[in-house]
Amino acid sequence: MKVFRAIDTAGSALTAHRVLLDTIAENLANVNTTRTGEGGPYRRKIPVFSEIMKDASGGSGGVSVMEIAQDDSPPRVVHEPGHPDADEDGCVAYPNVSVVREMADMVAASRAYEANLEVVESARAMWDAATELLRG
Amino acid sequence: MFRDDLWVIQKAGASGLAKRFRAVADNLANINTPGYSRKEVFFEDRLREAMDGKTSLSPARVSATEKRHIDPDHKPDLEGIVLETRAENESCRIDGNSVDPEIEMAKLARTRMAYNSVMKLMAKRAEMIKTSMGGR
Repeated sequence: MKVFRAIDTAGSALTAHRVLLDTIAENLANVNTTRTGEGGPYRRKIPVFSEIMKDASGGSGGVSVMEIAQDDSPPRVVHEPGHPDADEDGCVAYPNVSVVREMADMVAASRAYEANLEVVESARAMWDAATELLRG
Repeated sequence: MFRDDLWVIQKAGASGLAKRFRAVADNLANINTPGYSRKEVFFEDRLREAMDGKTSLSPARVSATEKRHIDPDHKPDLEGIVLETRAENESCRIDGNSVDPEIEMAKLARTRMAYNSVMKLMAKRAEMIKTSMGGR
């Protein structure tokens, strides 16, 4: 049933956008983190989305998160001589996370999440209409 | 009653609408996938042409050469009138994605309503046939 497979498609998008929202939450949580396991400040993380191509068996399509990549742009350098992580010039490297950009991405991600929920709801209603044919 | 084209046409319409719904689901799923080209499904024009008898409905036509043959025109094969295309190079977004969320949401609602109407029509018809056969 074609309509039914749309739920899988929307489901993949719900998962992907949940990952995106989780990543944004992580970026925002670490907006001031100057120490990480790899050393240096926290680096902004970006989930990379990729379209799932339909295979010969008619896979559902949809979207998947290929990887969680790292933003390699330079850190935000702030002059703060008293900071324990300041270098000899008194500069501290803060994460390359922009709160404004993350907030904007968050709005976009939750809108996309809602749109895909709407797809699930529509697919359900259409499925109900189709099963009406079996009534009586 | 069982030999008219209405069932076939309704079935073709429903399957075209289901395919469009899946395309919309795919587009909304990939709303944040860079470089994604939006999918579009066409079938109304070709269905109308087929109903008007302007085009042949199936690639290999059979014809009734004898009076007792079942007239092939009574059972048009409407498979393959549904066309799925990609809207390439249409993007006005920086990431090369050509999905417009508003248009897709409107298409989602429209497709859902049309699909439900077709299903209601089919159910009504089944009911009529049952009534005519004396079923209660």
